[in-house]
Amino acid sequence: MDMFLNAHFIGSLLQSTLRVTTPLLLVALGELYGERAGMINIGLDGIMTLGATVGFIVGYITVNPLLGLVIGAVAGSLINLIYAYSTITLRSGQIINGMALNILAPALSIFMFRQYFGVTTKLIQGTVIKPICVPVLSDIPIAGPVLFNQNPITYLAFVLAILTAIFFNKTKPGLDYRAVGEFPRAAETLGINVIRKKYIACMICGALAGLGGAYLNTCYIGTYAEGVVAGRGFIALSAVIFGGWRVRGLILATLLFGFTDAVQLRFQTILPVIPYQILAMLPYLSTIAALFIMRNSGLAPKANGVPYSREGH
Amino acid sequence: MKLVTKRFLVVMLVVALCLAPIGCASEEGGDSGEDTYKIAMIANASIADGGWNSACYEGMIGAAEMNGWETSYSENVKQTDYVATFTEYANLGYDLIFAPGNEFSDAVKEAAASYPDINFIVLNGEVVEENVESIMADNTMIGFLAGTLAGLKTQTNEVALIGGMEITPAMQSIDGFKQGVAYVNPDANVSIAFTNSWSDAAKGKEAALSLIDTRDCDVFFGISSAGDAGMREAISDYDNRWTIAQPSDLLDQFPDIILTSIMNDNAQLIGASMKAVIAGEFGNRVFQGGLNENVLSLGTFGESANDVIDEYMDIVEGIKDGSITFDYNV
Amino acid sequence: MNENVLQMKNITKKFGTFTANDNISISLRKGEVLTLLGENGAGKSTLMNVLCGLYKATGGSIFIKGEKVKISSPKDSTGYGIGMVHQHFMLVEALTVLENIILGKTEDRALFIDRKGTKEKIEELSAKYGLGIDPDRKINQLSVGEQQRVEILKALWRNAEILILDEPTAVLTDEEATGLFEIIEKLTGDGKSVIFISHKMKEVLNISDRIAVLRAGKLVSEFKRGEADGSTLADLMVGRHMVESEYSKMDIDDGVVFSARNISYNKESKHSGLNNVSIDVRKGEILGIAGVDGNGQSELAQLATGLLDPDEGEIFLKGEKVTTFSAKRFIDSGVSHVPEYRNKMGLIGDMSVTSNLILKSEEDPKFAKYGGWMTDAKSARGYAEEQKERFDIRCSSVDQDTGELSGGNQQKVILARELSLTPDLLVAAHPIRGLDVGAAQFIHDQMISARERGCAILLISTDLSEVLLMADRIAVMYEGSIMGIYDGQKPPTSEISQAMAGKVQEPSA
Repeated sequence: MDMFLNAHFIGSLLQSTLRVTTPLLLVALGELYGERAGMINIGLDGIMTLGATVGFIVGYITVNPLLGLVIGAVAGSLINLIYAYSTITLRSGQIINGMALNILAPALSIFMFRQYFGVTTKLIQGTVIKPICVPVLSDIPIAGPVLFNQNPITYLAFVLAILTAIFFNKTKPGLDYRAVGEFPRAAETLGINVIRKKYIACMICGALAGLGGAYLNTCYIGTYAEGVVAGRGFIALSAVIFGGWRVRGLILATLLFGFTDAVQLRFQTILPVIPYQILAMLPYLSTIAALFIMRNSGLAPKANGVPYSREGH
Repeated sequence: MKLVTKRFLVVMLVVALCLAPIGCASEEGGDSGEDTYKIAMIANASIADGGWNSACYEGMIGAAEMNGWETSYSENVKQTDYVATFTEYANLGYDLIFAPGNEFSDAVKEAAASYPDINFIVLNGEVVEENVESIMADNTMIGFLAGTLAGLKTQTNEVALIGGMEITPAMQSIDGFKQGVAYVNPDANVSIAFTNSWSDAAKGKEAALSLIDTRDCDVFFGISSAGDAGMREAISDYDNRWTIAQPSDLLDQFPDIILTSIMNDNAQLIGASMKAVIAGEFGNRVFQGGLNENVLSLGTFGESANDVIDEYMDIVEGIKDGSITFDYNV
Repeated sequence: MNENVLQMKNITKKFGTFTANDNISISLRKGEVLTLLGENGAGKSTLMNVLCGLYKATGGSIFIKGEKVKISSPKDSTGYGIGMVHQHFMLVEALTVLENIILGKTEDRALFIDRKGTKEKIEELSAKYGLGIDPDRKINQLSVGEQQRVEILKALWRNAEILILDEPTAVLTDEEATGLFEIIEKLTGDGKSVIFISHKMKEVLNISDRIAVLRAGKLVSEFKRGEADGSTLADLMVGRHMVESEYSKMDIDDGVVFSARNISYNKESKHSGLNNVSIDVRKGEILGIAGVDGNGQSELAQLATGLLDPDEGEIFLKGEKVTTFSAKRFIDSGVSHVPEYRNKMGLIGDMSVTSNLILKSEEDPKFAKYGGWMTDAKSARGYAEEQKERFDIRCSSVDQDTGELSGGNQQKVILARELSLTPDLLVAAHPIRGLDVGAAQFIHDQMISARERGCAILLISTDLSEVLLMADRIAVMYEGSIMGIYDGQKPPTSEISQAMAGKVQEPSA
């Protein structure tokens, strides 16, 4: 075991953790913006798929993965407007509309991809945004590769997380935003435009979920395969709950998942006697265990998932 | 009235969204004359997954072209709908129905019993009936071919295999791979990681990186479908890491890292069954295809394989002529 | 001080076909207290919701200081210096007082929250009107009275000149109410105007400069202080001459319907348990349970209707032992229940009046079609119309969701359903809580006529006057135990009060 517990091993483990965490954190932040305005969106997985596809196609055509990322986020935001219109304006159920997104968005993605590339059986290779490697600093053991050799989007995700925490806790608009998820009627009486805030929340949520999806195909890997999202949207969703609707909790939750996922892949080679199926469960088991320990249910926004009507009762 | 309209709109929206992804069955080929034979494939995922289903679909198209058949397919079919989809094609009078995977076995048995005049083939299956054949590439041989090349090439004496899930064909390949490595290089160590998915390309990348970090593996063999693409990307960032591709020739995409590709020609497998149908000899058969049956073949060799290619080709010839053998343990 | 700060002219508000406000005009002068008096559902809250921009008026116009204004959102009304303290507080429980106060559009345009500076300003304002609020506490740590003062503070923070208080005393103890009136005095002394909504006659007469009486969506009349007395106002409010009801008391022994023998439930808990309780309810009598809220009354009601099973002891219905029977078996044996939370337990708010009325009798051949698989909508509707007449349920139609009805009408729906089963035992918990005089009297009349029919009634109420008015015998509960049972004909009120506080004149030590 000693050969593994060296600086290189730990450094690369943590680096891997951050890579896995990045898309989860982005999407979980998106969901946090949604739920803080009372909008539970279980369609994150679908939005991510669309973001990944659109991001890849645009990145491939323009040979500009950064543009792919941006358009992926825009696409996520736009498709989430369907959910927004159904749940906010028509006040239909959030769960069923989220489910519908999970069905619609991947189908739409396949359609677009095949429209452009045809039914190909070979994987198409696009370009990716490479990690930024800060010279000298990245050579520091452990901290170097972890802190100074990361994808720019990873930095973006953590900066966004910090800004989000500041927004919700320190600013006036953030306070108003929270009131919408807690008690929309009270917010309305105080001159806050609840409906508009909810729409904005959905657009932010869609944009970040789209960005998280696009990250997979413009930063993480350069090939597109249907199903690349592989349930990450649901992990992000649970990270919001387990993180207690707080940014700090969310970062910890996604890091925990990323870390255990990175660890289990290494355990597969270090401890081949353990069946991989058990190791592959580790990230999920640890998330569930953490959910049990944290018992965060009381921290949920009070009006989460409840349709709002101004003259309703 | 307004409320009613709204409710109606919501219902319509939901219905529309739910109907959206229902798989499209498209027919390809010219006008069907009565005497044209027809084959249909049923996939439980996308036929464009860049891995297993893609290879199966291409194999069917290839075999159909060679033998002048018409084709059709249904994709993203759920397990609960297998039998119904088989029945549909049987009712449409398809001559041969192609089920690409052992997971279809039970459904094939059920449908085949109801339609004794329709022929079924199961890829990697074990079912054998009057009107059912199981066909498969020699997975152990695939593994052995990759393992010997990896064992010859490795400089760190650490070779790796990345799998998707633990299914029988994968276990056969792994078994062959281990035998192949041991045959040429008894000192080399084989590490195996599973992505636990067929579609998570990113996981393939992480798995490869973790194999490099923990074991310093330098030759990789991927049998995890989409995960293989992630694996290739991961190792192309490094010097002196190589991979053996499958199931088609991928050298032009990654010329620097691919040693060679082990090509699995499903067209030959399916074509053999088609010929049997036409000849009226179909049924009661398990067909396992290897190098000698032209089901397996080697792709173009990359320049990085130059130092081992002679030694390797001797082994390949040995397998063909039977002087080198391996065991079928799985 | 005769300038009009506010005028509402010819305001009409319709919900579908239901007219909640019909051509109402009121005016408010600087520094005065105007009271809107009316029964529940008279349209007071609707009118005020129009004023503060939550509802959009169907017709009419609003003038602030003589100028016509358009108020289409709460933002607008705040801008015109109107602040409303809603009956159900509009406070975000997860946030602190400070955060609640600065929520929404305020003068402070800074992006970041200046907690220190804001806190000082809030404390200053709080001290000025004697509100005594600590800005750093979370709302869910505050008492109801404190929460109400936060609401007032919230309005003042937004420079409210006109303060609307919607039934502010309904949730307050007498002491807290007195405190509130002192605050109102300070506010009007400072030149602010107050619109006070209430149906409690005594306090209305006490604090109002002017009184506007609303009935069934219409403005009935307006008085200056001292122009009208309580009974005139009450008559106007209800629309007929009100006589303080008095019911004759019974003392008959026609056999015991309900009998609890030494029952205990969760007896370690003083506030949500029962400890060795034995009571009998006889045929044709009302047994009143008096006591301060939270002394085991809820549990008694649930035990008597089969919703809970006792830990110890036995329960008998008409002589049959039913201790562990299900609620369904209780209903089948003729037990009806008017539960304490009418919205949570008594009604399904998203279902229509009709559906709620037949909830317990869907399988009755009267309403069932095709062997009970379908409901006969026509006969159910006809039945509902009948009950609507009989119980004076005021709704736009029997298809209206019960959640949209006023509390009094909701209670009538429940009572109609429960009494139509001609029960042998009626368990009624706080049947008139939150209801106005007219509705309360109606409910009481119905209960009395059920008693006349021979129904045994277990009446649980925290309102001692209600128990004294209704009960033939009075049992007092304290910390899960029965402190004593008293005669209802000449109730020893002081003894009962003592017992409610846990003090019993023990004959022996």
